[in-house]
Amino acid sequence: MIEIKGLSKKYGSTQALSDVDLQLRPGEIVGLFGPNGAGKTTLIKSIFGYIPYSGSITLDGEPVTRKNITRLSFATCEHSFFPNIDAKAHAQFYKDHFESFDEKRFNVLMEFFSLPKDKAIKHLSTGQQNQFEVIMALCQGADYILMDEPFAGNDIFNREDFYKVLLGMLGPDECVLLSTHLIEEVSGLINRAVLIDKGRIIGDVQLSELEESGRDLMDYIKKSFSYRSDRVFEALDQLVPEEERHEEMA
Amino acid sequence: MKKWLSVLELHAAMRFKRVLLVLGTMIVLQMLSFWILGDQSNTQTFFQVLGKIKYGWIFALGFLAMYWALSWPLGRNETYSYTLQRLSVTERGSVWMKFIFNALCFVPLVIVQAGLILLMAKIFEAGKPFAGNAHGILIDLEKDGMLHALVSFSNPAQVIYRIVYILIATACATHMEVLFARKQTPILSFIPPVILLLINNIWYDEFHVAFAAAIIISVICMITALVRCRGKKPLRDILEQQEV
Repeated sequence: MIEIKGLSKKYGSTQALSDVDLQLRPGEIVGLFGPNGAGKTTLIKSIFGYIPYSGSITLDGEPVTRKNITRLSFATCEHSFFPNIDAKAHAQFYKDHFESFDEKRFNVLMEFFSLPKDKAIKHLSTGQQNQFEVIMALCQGADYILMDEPFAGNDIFNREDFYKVLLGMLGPDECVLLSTHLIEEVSGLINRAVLIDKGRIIGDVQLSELEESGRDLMDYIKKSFSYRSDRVFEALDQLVPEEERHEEMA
Repeated sequence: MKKWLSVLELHAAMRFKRVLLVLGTMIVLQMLSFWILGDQSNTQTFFQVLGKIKYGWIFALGFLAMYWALSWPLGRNETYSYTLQRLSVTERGSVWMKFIFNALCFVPLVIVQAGLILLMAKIFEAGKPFAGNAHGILIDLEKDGMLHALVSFSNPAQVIYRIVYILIATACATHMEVLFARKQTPILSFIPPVILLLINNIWYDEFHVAFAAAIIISVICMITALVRCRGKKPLRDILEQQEV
């Protein structure tokens, strides 16, 4: 289990994360939702120790170090692959460094998404690069797969395929933390939603709980973020008088 | 050991095309300048040909291009460090592997240059058996400071000088790559290559102080590169500047 306690992070005078407590358990697929600048990326990078922070992050009771970091994998829209080498060389490199690299899964996914294995990754399209980034994270053999906006730039059909494949192939103990803005799309994939705003966790719910209480994820999120749809009309009223707007609409 | 070699192989795989491009371009430029600028019909000695073809400046271009090949970022967002930081090989270990790879690239640059000069000498000798006999060419090589340093493999002092020369270049290229990857400008590591090129092309004889300065700066560069890669927080510098 990844256990985060009292995690705080400041960039200059900006408080990026403030006293965050969170647990990620084996087998969970967790959606991490929040507006831009809420602290999603900072939270994920803190788990890996890519940035300094205050607080505690442990993996099965141990701090995350080189000894256990291979149990975590990372897919990011910034991309963490090696741009000048091809997929085959990536697979070999991962095999050398990650003992539990799943070559079978790698081959199946590469074929499923029709990605070339002998072309430097920098020559693939952005969408294909995103696919490759996610494939490497899924095939590393990690227990915890952390993804930060991995599908930015992919079309809807592509993303749908990914969700289906992901659901079908994940092992019972594999945990996925998926940071994304595509709430409705992933609502059928995740089993828990964590909401973050201004560096604080403002919501944490199992989707089964929502179902039992007859609510849906979008409503829960809107309520948690105190979303006011009337703000749109207020803004429009200031720009275009209401009668004029009605006339145009008519 | 296998993991370390794998990192070395990775560095090589990512940059070898650029390195080959630099070596190939230098060979083509040197040979073109030999055929076009050399004007061998009115030249009495090989030393005169060398004076005309400005081979030292072409080598200087190749030398600087090698820095580009080894250290300039591979893409707009070079963030594969996220993966390197998840390996059991430390990032410092990765920097040492990079150092070894860089050294393995500068060595052929020097050998190719020496080989080209010897090839040109051979061609000159074949075309002008009287002016370009082996003895005359040997004297020519001794007359030219840079050539003397390049091809005098029998002189231990020159061999040591050349090895130190390559180590300086290697350390600076490694420092450059580490800083470029953090979106910083490696000003310090630009100084030794410039000193080395000035020694090669202008300050043939009185170079000891400048050479010593280049050694000191390159050592500082290498230490800086290693210190930057502290544990698992090497990307801190970039991330501090990014939006949350």
